[in-house]
Amino acid sequence: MPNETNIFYMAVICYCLSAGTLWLRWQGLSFVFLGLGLLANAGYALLRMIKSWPLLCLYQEPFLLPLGLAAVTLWLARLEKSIAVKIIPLTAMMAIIPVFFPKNFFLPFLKSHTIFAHLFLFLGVAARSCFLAGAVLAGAFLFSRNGNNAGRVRSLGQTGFADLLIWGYVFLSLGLFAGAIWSYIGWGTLVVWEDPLIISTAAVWFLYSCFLHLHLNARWPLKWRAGFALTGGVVVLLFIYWPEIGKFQLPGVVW
Amino acid sequence: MKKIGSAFGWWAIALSLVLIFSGCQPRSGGGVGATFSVRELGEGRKEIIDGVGRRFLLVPAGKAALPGYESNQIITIPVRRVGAGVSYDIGAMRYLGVLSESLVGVTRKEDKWGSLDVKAGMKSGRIAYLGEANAIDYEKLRTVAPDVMLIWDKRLIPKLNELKIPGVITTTPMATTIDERLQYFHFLAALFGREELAKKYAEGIRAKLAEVKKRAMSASRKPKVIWGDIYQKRVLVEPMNAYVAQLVEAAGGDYLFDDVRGVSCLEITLERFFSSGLEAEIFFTYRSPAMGIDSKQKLITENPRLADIKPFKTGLVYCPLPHFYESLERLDEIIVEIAAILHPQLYQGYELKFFQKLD
Amino acid sequence: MVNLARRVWNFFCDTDLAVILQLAVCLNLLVGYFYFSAYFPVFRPLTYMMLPDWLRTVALGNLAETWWFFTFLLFMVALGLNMFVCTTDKVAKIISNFSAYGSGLRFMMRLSPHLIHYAVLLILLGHLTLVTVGTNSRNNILRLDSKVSLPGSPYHLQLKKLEVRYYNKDAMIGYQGRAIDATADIAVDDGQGQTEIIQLGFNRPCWYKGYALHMDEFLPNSTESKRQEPYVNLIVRTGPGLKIFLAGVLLFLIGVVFYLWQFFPMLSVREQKA
Repeated sequence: MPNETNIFYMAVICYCLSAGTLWLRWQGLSFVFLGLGLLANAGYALLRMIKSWPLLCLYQEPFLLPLGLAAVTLWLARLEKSIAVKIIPLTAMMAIIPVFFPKNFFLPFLKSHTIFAHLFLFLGVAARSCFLAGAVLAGAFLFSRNGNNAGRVRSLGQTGFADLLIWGYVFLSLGLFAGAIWSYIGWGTLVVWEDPLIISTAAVWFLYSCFLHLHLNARWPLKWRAGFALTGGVVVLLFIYWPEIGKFQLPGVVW
Repeated sequence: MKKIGSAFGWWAIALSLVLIFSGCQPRSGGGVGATFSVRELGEGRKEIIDGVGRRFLLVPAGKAALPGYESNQIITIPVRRVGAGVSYDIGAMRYLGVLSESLVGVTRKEDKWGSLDVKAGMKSGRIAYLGEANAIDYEKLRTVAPDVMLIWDKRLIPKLNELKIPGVITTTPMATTIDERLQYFHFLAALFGREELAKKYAEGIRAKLAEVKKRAMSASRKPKVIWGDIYQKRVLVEPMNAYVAQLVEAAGGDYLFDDVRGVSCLEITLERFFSSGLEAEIFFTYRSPAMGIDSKQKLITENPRLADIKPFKTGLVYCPLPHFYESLERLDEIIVEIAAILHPQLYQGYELKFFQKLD
Repeated sequence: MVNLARRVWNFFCDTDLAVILQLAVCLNLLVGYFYFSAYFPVFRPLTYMMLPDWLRTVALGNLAETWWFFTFLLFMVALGLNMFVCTTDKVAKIISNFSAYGSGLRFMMRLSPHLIHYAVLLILLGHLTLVTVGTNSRNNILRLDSKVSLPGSPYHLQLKKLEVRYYNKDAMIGYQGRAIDATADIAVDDGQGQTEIIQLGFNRPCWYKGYALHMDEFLPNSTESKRQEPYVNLIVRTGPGLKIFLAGVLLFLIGVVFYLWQFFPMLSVREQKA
């Protein structure tokens, strides 16, 4: 069986090439590399899952996050390419980080032998991807000239971040449900008090619940909501992403 | 709208302050929870919780038990007769001054003990061999009739319940922190009515830790340390919440598995072990001379991959001596020894007592 | 009294309050994240203790480390009240205007956000009920040669058979020969001569007469320890918490489906034609 780490490195190279070609304003080529990166990343995810099946490897989220971001980018590109490309540099960065700061060095543990563990992982990654992509778009909107547009007709560039956050919230909620069910069947309790990530994940859920109230009731100007979304992205990075990455380690190619 | 706007503004400021002050927290493993806790219930009665969360009611002799506890959860104190199988239980009992009078049975053969007092007790017949921990001789146990058995194996609980001998688990699912080790002393002392000694022990350990930390501040650098081993198919290490890792940090070392948290002898990937092994200057192995390990070469023969890590090339390798695991009561001396290993220039002339340097 | 009730109702019936409380809970939890990381031995017992026991014994004895948990509980009570009052107020208005919606579907779409709110309340109630009502019994060791009583019942359990499945592939290095699944046959004796065999697996709990039986640990767990006498460590739980939680999850999903329905144009067109 091919080594999945090398396949992830290929994904990283493709994501970096995507970011590089975007910087050179070769948008089309950038999307091609992004697509290739997504395929390689998906290949990594599939191989990793097959190798550890039916168990689950811990701390895979940083390795799957670029996959989620790439998927969001390509989905948005169907609607408006100029908006979608803003996420590509983040995708490349999120791909490089786990190469040098991996934390996936624990062996799979027996209680991960359930579909709910896998659902918890993938829904969590989908949520994070939406939150971070939404934060990028919110930032782009905030610091763009259109930020002052108070007109009634909104473009994707103005409200796209909110739609992403709503989807992220749905994924996060479903992920928390899957996680709770996993906890119950494995440990007899809906919350296993072992990992502080459960606390920060709950905090993020409440944060985005707050955003939903502000957004769906239109209680705040769009620009303030974008600021909230950007803050939410920072909270996700600091309190959910940061604990999932490890110490600095030089990567090795596995022959 | 303004109300929410200002609420969000204050929230963001508060979050920033939280992030700034988050660095003031201890790294990990501070505080003691329910494990090994002792709760006063009045009139000398106490509730203790063992290493896996099981409750016991300690009742002074002559007093009645409280409702809500089954018969196998009630222990009359002070305990007079104890059966034990865990090494550090012996050390703790020795410190509390109850070893010679209370220990009546053990679950290891005489030649497997490093403690001379236990060996002597077994030789004289005062301490009975009860069979191995996973194959106890229950008839012998019935004859010896301890008031309580200090065990690590939960499988023994049903049989002990049948014999009406309370089985108290003195190990924990996760690696124990220093605070939990000190709390364990207090917990064990409650069985014998020696809480004052346990308090004195904890104060002594904390004072020694503070002294060693202060001395380590004068060191110019922090040596990089790892603690673990590679076996045939497995790589096991001590996580950062383990007391040995905390001792290394307190003694002025840089414990390289500080992103690994979990049980003692935690299994990680070979890649992770090597990423720290290539950087480490000092390596503590689990294996001891009793297992035939008395040189670096012997360890490398057991697992050739160890030759690639830095301690085996240009660094230092230490193994624990057999009585290390039975010397919990001498934790203050162990702290000093680890500090002396990390900073020999600060402890000139120190002679090792608990570890052996492998050449 | 009625005036006071109305004032309290109006106080809690405020979306601004909801936003402020959610921000407060979020901040509280982020503070708690650092305390949990630094002092996790204090919080770990929450997995196996009921909440009142933990609060009374561990939390009060370690107030410097657990204060944030108490404030969290306070904020959650306030948020729960706010959610209930706001939602009920709005639902009452929607129901009273039922005829204005034209169709049941439009009505459900309008009601959906409030179904989601009620669902969240049910979920939170489920969490709270699970840790306050019922039992959470651990370390119930079952062996082939001894019986153990099911806590609070006349039943006795005995392990009859343990089938362990071992990993025999090459994909996971170092995992060969280790257990990846186990199934236990357990005899339940009702104390009156009737015995029933129930089966449970690892991560596959069994529900028996109001008791949820979960396999926490088992031996042997590797081919190297195959000769060891088998045993199973059971977690036994009772209480309505899980059912309330699952009801909340179901209601949440129903609410989300109806809420998202309005974003699918094809479905909306079909509904208009109808």
